[in-house]
Amino acid sequence: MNIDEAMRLTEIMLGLAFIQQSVEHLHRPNDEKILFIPRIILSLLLIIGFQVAWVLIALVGVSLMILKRFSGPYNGGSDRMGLLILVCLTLAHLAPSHLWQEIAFGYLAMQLILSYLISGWVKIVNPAWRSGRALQDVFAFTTYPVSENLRGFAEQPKLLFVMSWCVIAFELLFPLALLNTNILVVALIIAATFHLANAFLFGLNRFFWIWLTAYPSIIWFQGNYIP
Amino acid sequence: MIKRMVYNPWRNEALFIASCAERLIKDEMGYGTHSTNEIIMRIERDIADGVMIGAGQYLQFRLAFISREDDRIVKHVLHLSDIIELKRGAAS
Repeated sequence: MNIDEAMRLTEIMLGLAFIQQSVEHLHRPNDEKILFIPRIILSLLLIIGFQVAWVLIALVGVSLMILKRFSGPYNGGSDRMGLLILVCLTLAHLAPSHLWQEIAFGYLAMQLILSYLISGWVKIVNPAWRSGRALQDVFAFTTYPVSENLRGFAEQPKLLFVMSWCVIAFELLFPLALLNTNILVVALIIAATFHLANAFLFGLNRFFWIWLTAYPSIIWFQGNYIP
Repeated sequence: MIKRMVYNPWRNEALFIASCAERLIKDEMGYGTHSTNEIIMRIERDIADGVMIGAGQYLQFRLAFISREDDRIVKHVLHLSDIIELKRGAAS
Protein backbone atom coordinates (compact mmCIF):
# COMPACT_ATOMS: atom_id res chain seq x y z
CA MET A 1 0.00 0.00 0.00
CA ASN A 2 1.54 3.35 -0.99
CA ILE A 3 1.00 6.53 1.01
CA ASP A 4 -1.69 7.90 -1.31
CA GLU A 5 -3.75 4.72 -1.00
CA ALA A 6 -3.24 4.57 2.77
CA MET A 7 -4.26 8.23 3.20
CA ARG A 8 -7.35 7.84 1.01
CA LEU A 9 -8.43 4.74 2.96
CA THR A 10 -7.86 6.62 6.23
CA GLU A 11 -9.93 9.57 4.96
CA ILE A 12 -12.85 7.31 4.07
CA MET A 13 -12.70 5.45 7.39
CA LEU A 14 -12.36 8.72 9.33
CA GLY A 15 -15.37 10.16 7.53
CA LEU A 16 -17.44 7.09 8.43
CA ALA A 17 -16.22 7.16 12.06
CA PHE A 18 -17.06 10.88 12.39
CA ILE A 19 -20.53 10.29 10.95
CA GLN A 20 -21.08 7.44 13.41
CA GLN A 21 -20.07 9.70 16.32
CA SER A 22 -22.02 12.71 15.08
CA VAL A 23 -25.31 10.88 14.54
CA GLU A 24 -25.29 10.00 18.25
CA HIS A 25 -25.61 13.73 19.02
CA LEU A 26 -28.54 14.51 16.74
CA HIS A 27 -31.22 13.95 19.39
CA ARG A 28 -29.41 16.34 21.71
CA PRO A 29 -30.07 20.07 22.34
CA ASN A 30 -29.76 22.46 19.42
CA ASP A 31 -26.32 23.72 20.39
CA GLU A 32 -24.97 20.22 19.74
CA LYS A 33 -26.82 19.81 16.44
CA ILE A 34 -25.30 23.07 15.19
CA LEU A 35 -21.87 21.48 15.60
CA PHE A 36 -22.55 17.94 14.50
CA ILE A 37 -24.72 18.46 11.39
CA PRO A 38 -21.91 20.39 9.63
CA ARG A 39 -19.51 17.68 10.77
CA ILE A 40 -21.68 15.04 9.05
CA ILE A 41 -21.78 17.07 5.83
CA LEU A 42 -18.01 17.63 5.87
CA SER A 43 -17.44 13.92 6.58
CA LEU A 44 -19.54 12.99 3.54
CA LEU A 45 -17.43 15.34 1.42
CA LEU A 46 -14.30 13.73 2.85
CA ILE A 47 -15.56 10.25 1.96
CA ILE A 48 -16.25 11.18 -1.67
CA GLY A 49 -12.90 12.96 -1.87
CA PHE A 50 -14.21 16.46 -2.63
CA GLN A 51 -11.61 19.22 -1.97
CA VAL A 52 -10.02 17.00 0.67
CA ALA A 53 -7.48 19.50 2.04
CA TRP A 54 -10.10 22.23 2.57
CA VAL A 55 -12.57 19.76 4.04
CA LEU A 56 -9.94 18.51 6.48
CA ILE A 57 -9.15 22.09 7.56
CA ALA A 58 -12.87 22.75 8.08
CA LEU A 59 -13.17 19.53 10.11
CA VAL A 60 -10.28 20.67 12.31
CA GLY A 61 -12.16 23.92 12.90
CA VAL A 62 -15.38 22.09 13.80
CA SER A 63 -13.44 19.73 16.06
CA LEU A 64 -11.97 22.69 17.96
CA MET A 65 -15.47 24.09 18.45
CA ILE A 66 -16.64 20.69 19.72
CA LEU A 67 -13.72 20.62 22.17
CA LYS A 68 -14.74 24.08 23.40
CA ARG A 69 -18.42 23.07 23.71
CA PHE A 70 -17.61 20.12 25.98
CA SER A 71 -14.57 21.76 27.65
CA GLY A 72 -12.45 18.88 26.39
CA PRO A 73 -13.03 15.59 24.61
CA TYR A 74 -16.62 14.29 24.81
CA ASN A 75 -15.54 10.67 24.69
CA GLY A 76 -12.02 10.69 26.14
CA GLY A 77 -9.51 8.56 24.29
CA SER A 78 -11.59 7.91 21.19
CA ASP A 79 -12.05 11.65 20.56
CA ARG A 80 -8.35 12.22 21.13
CA MET A 81 -7.48 9.53 18.60
CA GLY A 82 -9.98 10.99 16.13
CA LEU A 83 -8.40 14.42 16.50
CA LEU A 84 -4.91 12.96 16.12
CA ILE A 85 -5.86 11.17 12.88
CA LEU A 86 -7.54 14.32 11.58
CA VAL A 87 -4.56 16.56 12.34
CA CYS A 88 -2.05 14.09 10.86
CA LEU A 89 -4.09 13.77 7.67
CA THR A 90 -4.46 17.55 7.41
CA LEU A 91 -0.73 18.12 7.88
CA ALA A 92 0.05 15.36 5.37
CA HIS A 93 -2.13 17.17 2.81
CA LEU A 94 -0.61 20.56 3.55
CA ALA A 95 2.96 19.25 3.64
CA PRO A 96 5.33 21.19 1.36
CA SER A 97 7.16 18.04 0.20
CA HIS A 98 6.72 14.28 -0.01
CA LEU A 99 9.15 13.84 2.89
CA TRP A 100 7.07 16.04 5.20
CA GLN A 101 3.94 14.23 4.05
CA GLU A 102 5.50 10.92 5.11
CA ILE A 103 6.61 12.42 8.43
CA ALA A 104 3.07 13.67 9.19
CA PHE A 105 1.41 10.37 8.26
CA GLY A 106 4.19 8.30 9.83
CA TYR A 107 3.66 10.20 13.09
CA LEU A 108 0.16 8.70 13.19
CA ALA A 109 1.62 5.20 12.82
CA MET A 110 4.05 5.92 15.68
CA GLN A 111 1.25 7.18 17.92
CA LEU A 112 -0.79 4.05 17.19
CA ILE A 113 2.12 1.86 18.28
CA LEU A 114 2.58 3.98 21.42
CA SER A 115 -1.14 3.79 22.21
CA TYR A 116 -0.76 0.04 22.76
CA LEU A 117 2.75 0.09 24.23
CA ILE A 118 2.07 2.79 26.84
CA SER A 119 -1.25 1.19 27.72
CA GLY A 120 0.62 -2.08 28.40
CA TRP A 121 3.28 -0.25 30.43
CA VAL A 122 0.69 1.51 32.59
CA LYS A 123 -0.86 -1.88 33.33
CA ILE A 124 2.34 -3.78 34.11
CA VAL A 125 3.50 -1.21 36.68
CA ASN A 126 0.09 -1.39 38.39
CA PRO A 127 -0.07 -4.20 41.02
CA ALA A 128 -3.86 -4.43 40.58
CA TRP A 129 -3.40 -5.32 36.91
CA ARG A 130 -0.56 -7.76 37.60
CA SER A 131 -2.75 -9.67 40.08
CA GLY A 132 -5.84 -9.61 37.86
CA ARG A 133 -7.76 -7.60 40.44
CA ALA A 134 -8.21 -4.58 38.16
CA LEU A 135 -10.08 -6.71 35.63
CA GLN A 136 -12.09 -8.29 38.46
CA ASP A 137 -13.18 -4.81 39.54
CA VAL A 138 -14.09 -3.89 35.98
CA PHE A 139 -16.56 -6.77 35.82
CA ALA A 140 -17.72 -6.29 39.43
CA PHE A 141 -18.53 -2.56 39.23
CA THR A 142 -19.57 -2.00 35.65
CA THR A 143 -22.96 -0.42 35.14
CA TYR A 144 -23.24 -1.29 31.45
CA PRO A 145 -26.24 -3.60 30.91
CA VAL A 146 -24.44 -6.19 28.76
CA SER A 147 -21.58 -6.64 31.18
CA GLU A 148 -23.94 -6.76 34.17
CA ASN A 149 -24.84 -10.22 32.84
CA LEU A 150 -21.15 -11.10 33.00
CA ARG A 151 -20.61 -10.17 36.63
CA GLY A 152 -19.89 -13.85 37.29
CA PHE A 153 -16.49 -13.31 35.70
CA ALA A 154 -15.55 -11.26 38.76
CA GLU A 155 -15.70 -14.52 40.75
CA GLN A 156 -13.14 -16.20 38.49
CA PRO A 157 -9.81 -14.68 39.61
CA LYS A 158 -7.62 -17.29 37.88
CA LEU A 159 -9.25 -16.70 34.52
CA LEU A 160 -9.01 -12.92 34.92
CA PHE A 161 -5.37 -13.23 36.01
CA VAL A 162 -4.60 -15.04 32.74
CA MET A 163 -6.68 -12.56 30.73
CA SER A 164 -4.90 -9.61 32.37
CA TRP A 165 -1.48 -10.97 31.47
CA CYS A 166 -2.61 -11.76 27.91
CA VAL A 167 -3.66 -8.13 27.46
CA ILE A 168 -0.46 -6.80 29.08
CA ALA A 169 1.79 -9.09 27.01
CA PHE A 170 0.00 -8.28 23.77
CA GLU A 171 0.19 -4.52 24.32
CA LEU A 172 3.86 -4.56 25.34
CA LEU A 173 4.87 -6.83 22.46
CA PHE A 174 2.80 -5.00 19.85
CA PRO A 175 5.76 -2.92 18.48
CA LEU A 176 7.52 -6.18 17.53
CA ALA A 177 4.73 -6.84 15.03
CA LEU A 178 6.37 -4.19 12.84
CA LEU A 179 9.13 -6.66 12.04
CA ASN A 180 6.99 -8.70 9.65
CA THR A 181 3.94 -7.92 7.51
CA ASN A 182 2.14 -11.17 8.31
CA ILE A 183 2.74 -10.78 12.04
CA LEU A 184 1.46 -7.20 11.83
CA VAL A 185 -1.74 -8.31 10.12
CA VAL A 186 -2.32 -10.96 12.80
CA ALA A 187 -1.57 -8.42 15.56
CA LEU A 188 -4.02 -5.93 14.07
CA ILE A 189 -6.73 -8.61 13.83
CA ILE A 190 -6.16 -9.48 17.50
CA ALA A 191 -6.20 -5.79 18.46
CA ALA A 192 -9.40 -5.18 16.48
CA THR A 193 -11.01 -8.19 18.18
CA PHE A 194 -9.99 -6.71 21.54
CA HIS A 195 -11.65 -3.38 20.65
CA LEU A 196 -14.70 -5.26 19.37
CA ALA A 197 -15.02 -7.14 22.67
CA ASN A 198 -14.78 -3.85 24.57
CA ALA A 199 -17.50 -2.42 22.35
CA PHE A 200 -19.82 -5.37 22.93
CA LEU A 201 -19.12 -5.83 26.64
CA PHE A 202 -18.65 -2.24 27.81
CA GLY A 203 -20.30 -0.12 25.13
CA LEU A 204 -17.05 1.46 23.92
CA ASN A 205 -18.19 1.46 20.29
CA ARG A 206 -16.40 4.66 19.27
CA PHE A 207 -13.00 3.23 20.20
CA PHE A 208 -13.48 0.31 17.82
CA TRP A 209 -14.18 2.43 14.74
CA ILE A 210 -11.59 5.15 15.39
CA TRP A 211 -8.71 2.80 16.26
CA LEU A 212 -9.35 0.80 13.08
CA THR A 213 -9.15 4.08 11.17
CA ALA A 214 -5.50 4.45 12.18
CA TYR A 215 -4.55 0.95 10.94
CA PRO A 216 -3.82 1.89 7.28
CA SER A 217 -1.04 4.23 8.51
CA ILE A 218 0.81 1.43 10.30
CA ILE A 219 0.33 -1.00 7.40
CA TRP A 220 1.81 1.62 5.04
CA PHE A 221 4.61 2.43 7.50
CA GLN A 222 5.59 -1.20 7.96
CA GLY A 223 5.48 -1.95 4.24
CA ASN A 224 7.62 1.05 3.33
CA TYR A 225 10.12 1.45 6.15
CA ILE A 226 10.72 -2.00 7.61
CA PRO A 227 12.87 -4.18 5.35
CA MET B 1 -25.92 -5.47 20.28
CA ILE B 2 -25.06 -4.99 16.60
CA LYS B 3 -27.06 -1.75 16.55
CA ARG B 4 -25.12 -0.47 19.55
CA MET B 5 -21.89 -0.88 17.58
CA VAL B 6 -22.94 2.06 15.43
CA TYR B 7 -25.46 3.85 17.65
CA ASN B 8 -25.01 3.94 21.40
CA PRO B 9 -25.63 7.57 22.44
CA TRP B 10 -26.82 6.87 25.98
CA ARG B 11 -23.71 4.88 26.87
CA ASN B 12 -21.41 7.52 25.41
CA GLU B 13 -23.30 10.22 27.27
CA ALA B 14 -22.88 8.21 30.47
CA LEU B 15 -19.13 8.14 29.83
CA PHE B 16 -19.15 11.91 29.28
CA ILE B 17 -21.01 12.43 32.57
CA ALA B 18 -18.40 10.24 34.30
CA SER B 19 -15.72 12.52 32.79
CA CYS B 20 -17.62 15.56 34.06
CA ALA B 21 -17.75 14.00 37.54
CA GLU B 22 -13.99 13.39 37.50
CA ARG B 23 -13.31 16.92 36.23
CA LEU B 24 -15.57 18.32 38.94
CA ILE B 25 -13.72 16.49 41.69
CA LYS B 26 -10.31 17.51 40.36
CA ASP B 27 -11.69 20.90 39.29
CA GLU B 28 -9.39 20.61 36.29
CA MET B 29 -8.56 24.04 34.91
CA GLY B 30 -11.56 25.54 36.64
CA TYR B 31 -14.06 23.42 34.68
CA GLY B 32 -16.20 22.79 37.77
CA THR B 33 -19.01 25.11 36.70
CA HIS B 34 -19.14 23.67 33.19
CA SER B 35 -19.23 20.10 34.54
CA THR B 36 -21.95 20.98 37.07
CA ASN B 37 -24.07 22.59 34.35
CA GLU B 38 -23.65 19.56 32.04
CA ILE B 39 -24.74 17.16 34.78
CA ILE B 40 -27.69 19.31 35.89
CA MET B 41 -28.86 19.79 32.29
CA ARG B 42 -29.01 16.03 31.81
CA ILE B 43 -30.76 15.36 35.12
CA GLU B 44 -33.38 18.00 34.25
CA ARG B 45 -33.84 16.45 30.83
CA ASP B 46 -34.21 12.94 32.26
CA ILE B 47 -36.79 14.16 34.79
CA ALA B 48 -38.69 15.96 32.02
CA ASP B 49 -38.57 12.81 29.87
CA GLY B 50 -39.70 10.60 32.76
CA VAL B 51 -36.47 8.61 32.71
CA MET B 52 -35.75 9.86 36.24
CA ILE B 53 -38.47 10.42 38.83
CA GLY B 54 -38.42 13.79 40.55
CA ALA B 55 -41.50 15.16 42.29
CA GLY B 56 -39.98 18.16 44.06
CA GLN B 57 -39.17 21.69 42.97
CA TYR B 58 -35.49 21.62 43.76
CA LEU B 59 -32.56 19.58 42.56
CA GLN B 60 -29.34 18.50 44.19
CA PHE B 61 -26.95 15.78 43.06
CA ARG B 62 -24.10 14.02 44.75
CA LEU B 63 -21.07 12.26 43.31
CA ALA B 64 -20.23 8.93 44.92
CA PHE B 65 -17.00 7.15 44.01
CA ILE B 66 -16.41 3.46 44.64
CA SER B 67 -12.89 2.23 45.25
CA ARG B 68 -11.06 -0.74 46.69
CA GLU B 69 -9.12 -0.30 49.93
CA ASP B 70 -7.27 -3.55 50.67
CA ASP B 71 -10.03 -6.16 50.43
CA ARG B 72 -12.88 -3.80 51.15
CA ILE B 73 -15.04 -1.94 48.67
CA VAL B 74 -15.67 1.56 49.94
CA LYS B 75 -17.95 4.31 48.69
CA HIS B 76 -17.05 7.94 49.23
CA VAL B 77 -19.40 10.83 48.52
CA LEU B 78 -16.93 13.43 47.30
CA HIS B 79 -19.25 16.13 46.07
CA LEU B 80 -22.65 17.51 46.96
CA SER B 81 -23.98 20.12 44.58
CA ASP B 82 -25.75 23.31 45.53
CA ILE B 83 -29.53 23.13 45.71
CA ILE B 84 -31.03 24.67 42.63
CA GLU B 85 -34.57 25.25 41.43
CA LEU B 86 -35.69 22.58 39.01
CA LYS B 87 -36.44 23.84 35.50
CA ARG B 88 -39.00 21.33 34.34
CA GLY B 89 -38.83 20.61 30.65
CA ALA B 90 -36.24 23.30 30.06
CA ALA B 91 -33.51 20.94 28.98
CA SER B 92 -35.55 18.38 27.06
